[in-house]
Amino acid sequence: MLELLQVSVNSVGVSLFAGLLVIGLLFGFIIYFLFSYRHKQKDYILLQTQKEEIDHQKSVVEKTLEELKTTQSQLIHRERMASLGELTAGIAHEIQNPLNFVNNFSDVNAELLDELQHELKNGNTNEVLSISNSIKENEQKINHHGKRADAIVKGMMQHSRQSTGQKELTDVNALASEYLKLSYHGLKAKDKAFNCNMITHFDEGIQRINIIPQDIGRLLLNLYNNAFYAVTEKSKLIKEGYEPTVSVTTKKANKNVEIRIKDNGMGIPQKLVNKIFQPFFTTKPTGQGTGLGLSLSYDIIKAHGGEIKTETKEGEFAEFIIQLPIDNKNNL
Amino acid sequence: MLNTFFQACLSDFYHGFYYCVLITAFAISLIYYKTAGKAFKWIAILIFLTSISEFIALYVGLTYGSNGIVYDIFTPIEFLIYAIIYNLFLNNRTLKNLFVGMAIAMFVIDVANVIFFQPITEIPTNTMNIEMVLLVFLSLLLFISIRQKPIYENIIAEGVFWFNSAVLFYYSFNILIWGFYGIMYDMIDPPKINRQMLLLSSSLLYLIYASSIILNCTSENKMRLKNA
Repeated sequence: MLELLQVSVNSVGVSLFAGLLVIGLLFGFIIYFLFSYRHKQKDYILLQTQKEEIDHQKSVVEKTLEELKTTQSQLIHRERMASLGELTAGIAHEIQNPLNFVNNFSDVNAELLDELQHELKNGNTNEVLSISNSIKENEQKINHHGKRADAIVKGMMQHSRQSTGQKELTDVNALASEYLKLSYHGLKAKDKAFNCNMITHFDEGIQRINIIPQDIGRLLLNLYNNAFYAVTEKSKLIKEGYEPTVSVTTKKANKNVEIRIKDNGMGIPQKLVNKIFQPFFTTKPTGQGTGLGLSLSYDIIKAHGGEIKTETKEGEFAEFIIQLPIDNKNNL
Repeated sequence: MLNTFFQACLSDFYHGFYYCVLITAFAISLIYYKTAGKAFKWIAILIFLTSISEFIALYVGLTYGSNGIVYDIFTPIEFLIYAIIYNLFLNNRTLKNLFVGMAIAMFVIDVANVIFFQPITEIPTNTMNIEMVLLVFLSLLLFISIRQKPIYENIIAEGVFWFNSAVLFYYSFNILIWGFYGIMYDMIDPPKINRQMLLLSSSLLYLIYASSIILNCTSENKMRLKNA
């Protein structure tokens, strides 16, 4: 009995000791937890403050980026409209030609109809048939030139329109030629004294390639305008013995179509060559250039997966070499 | 019978205190249920179910001599509620799967224990011990999580801290008590200290649970006032 009591007392003692030990350990844990929580809380508050600051900065940056994007699209639109303005005179000249044809042939037809009526009264059947054939031919010419004028107007509208980003199979030679004429006539309309030799070497073996014609047209127009501007500036400096010339060459080079636009103007100083594709960089006097033309041209070429290079000699020439990839899968 | 029931309830100070605390905690849970947070609503449900099961256990014990069946049924249910509470506190998708797994495992262990180790008439101490270990683990997990993301301005004034501390203290301490209870079980006249400690610690546990619900409602009110 005594032994049992002893065991009982010992067990109670051990229980109490172990219990107190566990309680002590748990209290120790809770105290450690509270201390470390306080410590962590300070770091957490600091982190939260920094996070809030970063979030704020992020939203500011995002807002600025949004504003920049809006401004950029506005600038691109303005540049497009400016180039359209430059084109207007050229387009007017281009439309004038088919309109002249339309007017002339319709006048001729009016005369022929009078003649036809006269011959009908006389009962001269052979003459009537001959005149009616002439009227038919003239009518076909009127229709042809009407369509030409229609195509020019459509082209102008396409130029001013926002690019759809859709590539189309396009005849690069025709595009280069059309925009060269538009640019030339545009400048000619503004400055009657303006004159320039235009030399074209179009490789007829170039197949139609997949490009966004509005964008490439805009790019060509920029480069032509720059070339004409350069030769005009040089001709103002050198009055005698200078023949302003702009040449356009197209050729097939490996898997690319190469377009070279060369002018014998003032060239580009070597220190500026690396800057010409930067946005807002211009050597033109204030108000004459936005400095976005070549920058946008660069973007257009990059969007087409192509390359644009410059070769120049100060005072002698500047040549822009555009390489557009031929996508064999989609090209005719 | 009712007289015997009340007599058993108030057989000594410890039993009387325990059942009074259960009723008080139950009343507090009812009062604060509506305003309490989601997890604390489940703590209130836990208090409610514990109170019911304790009184049923007392009745069954008095009527049939053994109340093991009540604990056999209640233990996995109790763990399931704890798993829900901890899932709400931890709010972690990966851990949610762990809790589901644990709750299912508890049911399986409980059934297996009844079939192979402790018959339905015996108190399922095996299942209870496993439950205790798991709850200590969950409690430590929640402490780590709270420490990692110290969002509470004053942690001591938060119900979650007191609830979790109570779980950690009670179940760690209980593992020990059950261990010694096992040693003394075979004695001719075992000392009552273990049973008394168990009743006292359980009383304290439910008091702290009820207090944590009040604390939660107070901080919820504070937040509502702040927002207003």
